Amino acid sequence: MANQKVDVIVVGSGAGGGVMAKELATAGLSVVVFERGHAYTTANYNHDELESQYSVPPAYGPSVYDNPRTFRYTDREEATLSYPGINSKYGKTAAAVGGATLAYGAAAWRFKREDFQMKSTYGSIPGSSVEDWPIGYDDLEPYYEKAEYELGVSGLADADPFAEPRKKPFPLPPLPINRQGEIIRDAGRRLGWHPFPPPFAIITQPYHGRNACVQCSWCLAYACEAGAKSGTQITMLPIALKTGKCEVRANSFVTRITTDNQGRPNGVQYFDAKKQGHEQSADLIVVACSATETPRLLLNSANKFHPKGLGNSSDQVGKNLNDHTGADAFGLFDFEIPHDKGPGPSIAFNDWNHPKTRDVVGGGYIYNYYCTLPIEFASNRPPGAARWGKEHKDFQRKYFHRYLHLGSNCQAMPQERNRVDLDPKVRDAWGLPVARVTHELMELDHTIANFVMDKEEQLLREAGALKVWRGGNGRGGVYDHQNGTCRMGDDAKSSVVNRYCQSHDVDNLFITDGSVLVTDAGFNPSLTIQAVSFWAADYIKKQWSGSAWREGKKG
Amino acid sequence: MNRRRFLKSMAVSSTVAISAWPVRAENGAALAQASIAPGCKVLTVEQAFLLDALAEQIVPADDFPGAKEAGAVMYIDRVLAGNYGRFYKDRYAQGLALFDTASDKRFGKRFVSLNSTEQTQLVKAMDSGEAGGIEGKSFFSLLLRHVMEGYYGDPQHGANRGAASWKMIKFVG
Repeated sequence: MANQKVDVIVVGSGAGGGVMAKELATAGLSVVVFERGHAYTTANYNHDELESQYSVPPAYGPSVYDNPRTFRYTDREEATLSYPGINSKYGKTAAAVGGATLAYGAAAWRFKREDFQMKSTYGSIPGSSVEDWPIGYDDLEPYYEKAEYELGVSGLADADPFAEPRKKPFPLPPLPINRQGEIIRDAGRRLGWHPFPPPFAIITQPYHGRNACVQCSWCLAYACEAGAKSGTQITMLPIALKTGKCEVRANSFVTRITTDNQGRPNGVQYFDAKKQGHEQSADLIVVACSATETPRLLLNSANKFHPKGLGNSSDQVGKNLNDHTGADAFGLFDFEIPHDKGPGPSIAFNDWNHPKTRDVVGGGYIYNYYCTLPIEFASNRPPGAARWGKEHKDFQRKYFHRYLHLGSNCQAMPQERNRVDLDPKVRDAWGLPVARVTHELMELDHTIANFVMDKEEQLLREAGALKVWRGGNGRGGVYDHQNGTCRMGDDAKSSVVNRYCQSHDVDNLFITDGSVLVTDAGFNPSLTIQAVSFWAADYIKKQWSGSAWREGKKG
Repeated sequence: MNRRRFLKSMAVSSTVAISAWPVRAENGAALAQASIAPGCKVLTVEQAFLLDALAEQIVPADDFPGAKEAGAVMYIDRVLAGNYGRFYKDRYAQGLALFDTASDKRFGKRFVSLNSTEQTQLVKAMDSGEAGGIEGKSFFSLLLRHVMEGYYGDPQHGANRGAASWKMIKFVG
């Protein structure tokens, strides 16, 4: 099968690519999925803070020396070299079969209606390229449902009064509430807020042949040896492979999308694990390798037909790079709060995510965070507390079990100046220009995060915290919820793909990862990426005619 | 060829130095024999002694072991000898030398010869940037991170012997 033409090439096996592979292979199309990372097995999984996705090296790739990038806050600066795991500005996304979903936190949120209509809801925002999406919640609702049922999302319908309506309940009951959850639930109720168990792509009962979550403390940044966390490597890809129509080509790095003598995509060039070059041809190309690597691949695929990069006649590829701000607050208590019951988050609030008062743009949900681990705790102290010495050690032993961490993912505003382009100097191990990331938060992003952190501190105080402090956001940099670099839109001049994730320029090129998100939301993005991918796959299946993707079949 | 081009491009634009591990002469004394500390691959005897003292300042012993006894130096040596050691080696060489230079300036002695109170004073001055400027401050942050990783991390990485720190904080994993 190595170099025989196939119907579809999917570049990237993560949230978006995994869904595409499964949907198209089960529809009878022949598919090759390219993944630059390894296919890890449970033998590679561990419970070790020094071997997690946030370690040096990142446990699940990308390999450090092969994959540099460069980073700068603004285009007035020279970008500096950054490496996976070594430099925090690099980002945290895994490069593995399953992509980021191999070691993700598995929060599985539906966006709210406003998240698709940010410009209509809040108006133009100076300095921001905020726009409405071409699709809305009602378009995606059936695909959210499909994603929830295929992944096995646990949650409680109607428990969040601010959630958009859903046609069916969650397929699985929510994770059990832990002590941290009980404390903030009660405090939240006293404040008149609305606590509920947050949705997770973590199965709480046996589901589709997989085992339920064992509630260990090692979830976010760890691969799940119980198989309860619903990464694509255990949900979508096995189904795709079972059809006999799909091959997952791991350790295979796609460097360029090739075109025929009319400029139409017809395949990819890639390197195998031994850095030997190969080609693969196909009728249809789906790119889903993250909001940083997808624009890089399109820009690296420039040729005489597509001088600014494939699919980039709009000059929008790589622009509007966006990521959440974090909003974390921490509290110390005079009573014990065990946090050994994983994954950790068991109560959330959406009171400050598009609050009806509109006293903030967007906002974010609030939840009790993943179980705290010892090194993580050692690096977190209130301002003024000792960072080392006897006092630090005493704090560690006194408060490790008297500590509560609240987290959020706050909406940040897209800006055209934040972007991925090709670094003019630095090349990767395959000789290709690396992604140069330019990213700086705007004042409003800090305002939104501060608004949410104010609420978190209020909740911690109400819960009886003796001492409360907050985290912060630096000047910029993208982490693991990167999005926006190949925006979806109806206008081919101002967006990269149409509402079905199809390139405006070439009809047999689709993009189904965080790149197509027009704006982010006060929610983790993976379920939305997957719903959008199911939606785009439906379109492809309807348009697929006989054995080939024919020209001129644009939506 | 691609690989060489890559390395070349790194050398041009990298802020990360990739030079060899230097051996430093201290205070005009005869060049210390760069004998590697027992059980170590990278750290010299002198560096290991200095790091032991620093680690003990960062996590001192009480009814639970300090970072020295827990093996923080072994952890750091593994980091430096490992595949990613090149990102840290020069910073350690320069940062450790800064400690001795600052110690000599302030007390006329090497860091390991100071009493505990003097050592604490000097570490505080390094932490604040007063003793070693931005370079010293930045090295101390790196050292702090590595000592905490060793002391509170999984014992399989060379420190946290007997998982003592986990017992101390009642971490059940």
